[in-house]
Amino acid sequence: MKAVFDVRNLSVWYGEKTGIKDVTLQIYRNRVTAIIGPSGCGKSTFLRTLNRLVELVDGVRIQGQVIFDGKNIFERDVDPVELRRRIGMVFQHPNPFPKSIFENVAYGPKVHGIKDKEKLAEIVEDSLKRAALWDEVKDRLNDSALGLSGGQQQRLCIARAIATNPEVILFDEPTSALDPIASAKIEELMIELKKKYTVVVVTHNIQQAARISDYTAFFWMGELVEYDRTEKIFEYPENELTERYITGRVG
Amino acid sequence: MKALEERLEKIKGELLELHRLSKRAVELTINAISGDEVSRYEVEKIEKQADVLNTDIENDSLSAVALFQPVAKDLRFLSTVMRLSGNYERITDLAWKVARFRISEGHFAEKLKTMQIIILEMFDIVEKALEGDTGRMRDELIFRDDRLDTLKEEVIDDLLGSELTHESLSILLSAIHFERIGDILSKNGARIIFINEGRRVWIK
Repeated sequence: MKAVFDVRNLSVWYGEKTGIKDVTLQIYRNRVTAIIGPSGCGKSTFLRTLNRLVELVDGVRIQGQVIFDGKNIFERDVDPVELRRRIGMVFQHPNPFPKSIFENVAYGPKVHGIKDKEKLAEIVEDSLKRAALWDEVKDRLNDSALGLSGGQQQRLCIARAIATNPEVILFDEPTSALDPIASAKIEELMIELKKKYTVVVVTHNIQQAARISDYTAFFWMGELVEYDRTEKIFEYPENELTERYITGRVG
Repeated sequence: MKALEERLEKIKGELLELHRLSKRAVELTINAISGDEVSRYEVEKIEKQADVLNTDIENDSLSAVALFQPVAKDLRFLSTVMRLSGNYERITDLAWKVARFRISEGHFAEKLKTMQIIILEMFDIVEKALEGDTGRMRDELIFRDDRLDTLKEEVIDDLLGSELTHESLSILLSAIHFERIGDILSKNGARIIFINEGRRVWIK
């Protein structure tokens, strides 16, 4: 199995405070990898390191390597904007721009230089279809994105991430603000998306991790405690701490 | 979390009760086949109680799975408990089948008594494991299971050539049922190891 990310001895500090400590793991292509662990354990820090979003925090310090497509993403000649095009991200709360549905999806490709209207329309349609939203919005593409339901807005954000043709999509708690039906749609979508993309998802919902992911990484106080196939983690975890966390006895 | 833990404790308590009932049923079989009607009636009663308890355990386990979505050891416990419980119910069925036979005192009754003693030892080993001590359970069960197989073969050999009577058939079936109970207890032992350690083992 081919690794998309080869993370080596990665540590992140916020000032004096440790975010993550000496994390080493590989994330595999066309698989869903879930990151679980209690609040403050470093899940989101880890995720945001993968597309260098973590650098936007004042006083952050990073050590170690994240090899993406054969190159360490922290090398000077790596353009973070291009990196983030290739590694898209979807956040906890749906955050559409106060623009039309069409403009929300077309925004990324436009920023990356695509001006041709036909091409943009094609990208928007394809992205909305991949995000399982096209049928619901195809007749109102010029309506404001803010008029969509929470679940639809989140799928719009996924379409927006897809529109720049990324290789990886990072999800940071993508369903925590959604109702169960909308969450189920996003979960189905993440499973579908792995056919074309590599998906990494941070979730507080361990049942969600069990349902949708192929691999699960368990973090505790900034350290990677256990990383393995999801079935293994949820059926026979090797580490006592993992067992105690997933069965709800610590954390 | 406390609610799930309480539920698991309750199910474990029910399982231990079923374990002890099954053991009691096997304990009474030798008296029953010697003609003790009270023991026979008691085994029949236990067999019915075991049916009810088995259903209760299945229902409790299923609802715990549905309501708490357990994982890891909790999930292994609940899914395995349903199998263990069904196995104990099967043991009481077999004990009831044996209890309905009539066998005269003598060589074969002694052999069956020996088999029964070994089975009761296996019950004790499995009970310790259910309470958390799997220690040397695997070796101890394998040793006794082998011994039961040998005793059953000896009964069959000793019966070869003898006239087919109601009693000889009763002896043969009793030995087969006892040997089967030993097998089931060994399987239960293996499943308890799966609950505790997450690994599949064969006790054979």
